[in-house]
Amino acid sequence: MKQVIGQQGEVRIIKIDALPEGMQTKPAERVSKGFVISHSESGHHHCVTGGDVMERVDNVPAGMQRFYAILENPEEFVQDAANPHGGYSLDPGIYQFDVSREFDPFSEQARKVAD
Amino acid sequence: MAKIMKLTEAQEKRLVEFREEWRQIGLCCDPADFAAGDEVIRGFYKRLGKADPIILHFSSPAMCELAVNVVFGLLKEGYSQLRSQLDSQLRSQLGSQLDRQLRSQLDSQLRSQLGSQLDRQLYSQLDSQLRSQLDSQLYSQLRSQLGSQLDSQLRSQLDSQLGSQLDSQLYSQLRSQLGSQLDSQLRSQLDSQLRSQLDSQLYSQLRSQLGSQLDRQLDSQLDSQLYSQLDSQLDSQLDSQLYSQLDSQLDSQLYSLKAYFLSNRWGAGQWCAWEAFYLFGHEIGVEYKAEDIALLLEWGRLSKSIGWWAPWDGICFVSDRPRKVSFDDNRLLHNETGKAVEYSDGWGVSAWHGTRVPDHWIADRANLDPNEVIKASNVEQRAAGAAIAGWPKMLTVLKSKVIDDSGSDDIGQLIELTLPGLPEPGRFLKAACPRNGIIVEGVPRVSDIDGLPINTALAAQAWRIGDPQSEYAHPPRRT
Repeated sequence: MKQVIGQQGEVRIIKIDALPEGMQTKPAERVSKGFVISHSESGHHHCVTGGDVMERVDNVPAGMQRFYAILENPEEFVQDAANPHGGYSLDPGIYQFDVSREFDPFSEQARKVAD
Repeated sequence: MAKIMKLTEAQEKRLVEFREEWRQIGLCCDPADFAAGDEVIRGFYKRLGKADPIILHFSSPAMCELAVNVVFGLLKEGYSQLRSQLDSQLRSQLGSQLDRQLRSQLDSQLRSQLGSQLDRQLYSQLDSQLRSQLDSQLYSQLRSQLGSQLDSQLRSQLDSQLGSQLDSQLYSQLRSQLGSQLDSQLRSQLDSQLRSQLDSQLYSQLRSQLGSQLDRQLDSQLDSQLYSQLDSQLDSQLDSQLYSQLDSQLDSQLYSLKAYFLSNRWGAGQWCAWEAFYLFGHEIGVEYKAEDIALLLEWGRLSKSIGWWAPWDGICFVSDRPRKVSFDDNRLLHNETGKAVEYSDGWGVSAWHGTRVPDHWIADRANLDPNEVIKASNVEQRAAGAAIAGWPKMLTVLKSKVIDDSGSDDIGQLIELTLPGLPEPGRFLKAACPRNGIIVEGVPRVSDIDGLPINTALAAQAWRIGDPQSEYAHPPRRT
C-alpha cells in the first residue's frame, strides 16, 4: 500500500507498508530540529523531527534523493525557515520521502555548440 | 626484464588512494611553502647553469601578473630614465590605491637591497612620483576586474620583496636581459631540458616495463582523471579568467598590461597529473634511472609546495595557492554562493557547473538581469546564466511556447523555451508552488524511468519525482 500524503516544496511524502527489501542505506544527517531530508536553496532544511531515518543509496533515479523513516511515535515534517513551507503531522508508521529533481536542457547542448 | 602486466589487488586499491592523494595535492588550499618551492626552483636554475634568481612571492596569479608588468616596466626603462618615465607610464598603469600598496612594498624591499645611493634616489623618486602622480583610470578598471583587495596588496608585496633582493649589480644585469627578453627563453629551456626530456625518458622507461594494457589503465585511471579535474577544470578556468581580464584592460590610450606571467608560467600542483602517473609506476616497481627519478621527485616537491610560477633569467615570480576551491558532484568547478576558486587577495573565478561566469552573476544573483544573460557572447555562459538567474526570471526574455496545459496551476504547464544560440528549445515544467510562487524547472524529452516521451505537464511531474507516468498520483496537498 502506498499513500501519498502531500508535498512540501520539492519533497513528496508517502506512507508505505514496509521498507523495500535489500536496499542499501546510510544514516540521514542529524541537526537540532531532527533529520535532514532536503536542504532548500535558501539554506533551510526540510526535516523530520524524529524516528529512525535513513537515505537510500542504491536504485534511486539519477538526480533524486530518497529517504525512509520508521516512526514509532508521532512526528512532524517541517522546514526550519522564518517563512516555512507548511508542515505535516505524521502518525507512527513507515514513510518514504522523495526529493524531486530537475534537468538542465541547455547545458549539454551549449557544451556541444561551444566545442 | 619481464614486464609488469597487471596490478595486484593491493595495488588496485593503492591506485585509488594514490590518485586521491595527488588530487588533494592539486587542490591544496594551504598557504604555499615558499621556502621549499624556492629551494626547488633554485635547483632548477642550477641544473640549467643559470645564476641564482631573485624569487618574488605573491598572493595570486593575478597579483603575479600585475607585479611582472610593473617590475618589467620599471626595469625596461632603465634607472636613469626612471624619473621621467614613472610619470607617464606608471601613472597610466596604476591607480591611487595601487600606488600606495606598490610604493610601500617597493620602499622597504628596494631600500634594503639596492646599493645605498640607488636606493635613496629611487626611493625619493618613487615617493614623490608614485604618491602624487598616479592616475585612477586603470585603477578603476583593474579594481572592477580584479577585485578590490588586489590593489591594496600589490605594493606591499612587491615593495617588501624587491628591496630585499635587488642589488645594484643584479639590477643592471636584469635590465639588460629583460630589455630584450620579456618572453622567457628560460621557460623554453626549462621545459625542454627539465620537463619534456624527462617526460619522454620516463615514458619510454615506463612503457618498456609495463604491459600495454596496464599502461592504458594507469593512463585512464590516474593521469586522465587527475588531468580532467586539476588541469582542464581548475587550471584552465583560472588561466581563462586572467587572460580575459587582461584583454579587457587594453586601451589605446593607456599602457596595456601584457600576459607575461600567464604566457610563461607553470601550473605546479594543478599540473601534477604527469608526476603522479610516473610516480605510481615507480611505486609498483618500474625502475627509472636515478637522475630521472631524482628530478621527478623535485617536480613533485614543487607541486606540493607552491602555486603557479614563471621563471626568467635572474628573476622568478611565484604565486600562492588558492584558499578555496569548490566543485559540484561531477567534479566541475561550481559555487552557488561565491567564487569557486578564491585566493587570499580576493581574486578568483566564479563558476557554475564548470562554466566560468562573471563574478557578479553569483555574488549578486538575486539582481541578475536576464537581458544581460542572453547577451552573453559565450553560449555556455548563457546557459549557465539562465540557470543562475532562474527560469521564472528568464521567462520574461525568452521565447516560450506551451506544449501542454493541465488546466491546473498546481500541476502546471509543459512549455518550451528557446535560448539564443542553441539549436533546440528546452522543455520546462511551469507550475505554482504555494510558498515559492511560479516555479520553472527543466525536464528531459524522454523519461529515464519508463522510457516514455515527456509530452504533458503530468508526465513532467512524474519524472520530477521519479515515478512512471502510469503510476503517478499528484499529491492531494502541497505546501
